[in-house]
Amino acid sequence: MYTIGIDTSHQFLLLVLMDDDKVIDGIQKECPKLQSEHIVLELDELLKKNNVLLKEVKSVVVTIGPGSYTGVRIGLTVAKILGSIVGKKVYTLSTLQLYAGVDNALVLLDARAGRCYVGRYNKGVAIREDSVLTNKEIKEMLNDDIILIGDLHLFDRESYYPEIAANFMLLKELWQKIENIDVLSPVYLKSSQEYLRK
Amino acid sequence: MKDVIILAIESSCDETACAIVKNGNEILADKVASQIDVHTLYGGVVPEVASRIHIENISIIIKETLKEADMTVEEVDAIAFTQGPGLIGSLHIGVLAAKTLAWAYNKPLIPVHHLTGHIYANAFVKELKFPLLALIVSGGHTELVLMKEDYDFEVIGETLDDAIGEAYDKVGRVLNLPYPGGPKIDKLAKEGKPIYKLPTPKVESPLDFSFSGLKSAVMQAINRLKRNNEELSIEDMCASFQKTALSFLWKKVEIALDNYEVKQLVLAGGVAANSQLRKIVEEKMKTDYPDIDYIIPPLKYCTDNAAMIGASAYIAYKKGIRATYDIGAKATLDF
Ligand SMILES: [Zn+2]
Repeated sequence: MYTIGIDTSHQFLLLVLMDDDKVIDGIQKECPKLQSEHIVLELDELLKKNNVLLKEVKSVVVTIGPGSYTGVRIGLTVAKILGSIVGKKVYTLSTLQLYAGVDNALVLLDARAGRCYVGRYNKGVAIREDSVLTNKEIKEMLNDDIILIGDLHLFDRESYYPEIAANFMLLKELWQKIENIDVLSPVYLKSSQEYLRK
Repeated sequence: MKDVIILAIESSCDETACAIVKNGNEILADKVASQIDVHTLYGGVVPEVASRIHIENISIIIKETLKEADMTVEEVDAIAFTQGPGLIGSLHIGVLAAKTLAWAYNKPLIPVHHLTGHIYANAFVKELKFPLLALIVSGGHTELVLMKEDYDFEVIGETLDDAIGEAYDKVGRVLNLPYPGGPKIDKLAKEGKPIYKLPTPKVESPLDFSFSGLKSAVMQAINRLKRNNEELSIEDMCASFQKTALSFLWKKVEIALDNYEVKQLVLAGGVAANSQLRKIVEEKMKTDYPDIDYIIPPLKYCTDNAAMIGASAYIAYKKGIRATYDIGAKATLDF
């Protein structure tokens, strides 16, 4: 039986086909703002290319943010339908956790307006809670004893995005099983209050 | 002919909706999760808030619709969805849900233009007759659409600025009425008299609309009252605004009816729920256009719902209109 991994919460469309213990195939393509157009088509192609039928897929593991609001919702909508209506099991991971993989890492993803989503992980476990910090606050946290991942160009370094597909598998023990898929919603970290009319 | 059963999803603004419709005019199930209470708190639809609520509601609303119809997705013939126009973040949720379902169950996927849904909501009342004139009035749209035949749409008049529903909401805000302003103004107008003079909007093209000036006209009228130390009657102001807006609207319909040969007039969109507008259509059609048939949709199908998307999708299905899995939501979309 197979599992599909989905991450659309940053600039990539990431789809991974796994069996019980390894990654079989996957795509990680940069398509900011176009994940919604590509995701179902690419899922279809991924399964066809590997001669896998959707009915042989028993579960979906998806990132629930933080990240681009629209992006996170794209992957999560597909996962919710596959879970709630089609009947697949659904597991979740933090986006920052997925990017960190099993490294001792600090993950920084652009949250715009001079801020980043910050994840500090070691061996897949959060050392501090995922949060949003200003880039000024983050600058003081940067040190080279840990692996820096993500939108480092905001800090005058070269951005670094790992091969995320493999991380899905490496973190398998840490996938969160979702019992009530219908109430599953993204982790935004930023309140929608910011978007209210003043 | 074999029955065609369509599961339709609508998420273009602030309602997450799903319906199952048979042969375009029989509703097997119809569910709407409205966000109106939330948006009332904020004085209008906040796009990010709307998107957040859509993703919370999407799977449960589809599940409940299937349950109400006592059906499985396997049993439907096609999956339809609103592609646009609307709020992009909101549309994404419905589009993706529909694409995922169509893919998972290997069903044809039918894209629907939201406004065609509002027009075809009238098919739940009786059969549409062509050529047909549709007056679409809502928070986002004010359009006159000529349909020479099924699924053939020609916009012959549209608003140059605000939609009529938007004007209602804006005037509601000026008068400190809670959002949405439309139903409130309609209700208060019944208790007042149109004693305040508001200028009729001016447009160059005889079939086009303009409503943005009405808000400033109301504000000016209020300021004038203040200067003269006269008391403002909210009811009378509502009656005055409503009369000016609807007379202007109806004038355009008359021009269209006089210049195009149509067999039927249909009313469509959220503002079609306005009691005064319904009365005008009813009375004027009977006295001035006795030879032209007309349909006023039931209140339930004036506001956004998925049944109307299913009704429109049925015609699209028969016409062979299909989408591929790479179709995307469109915030703006022509007919
Ligand atoms: Zn509408």
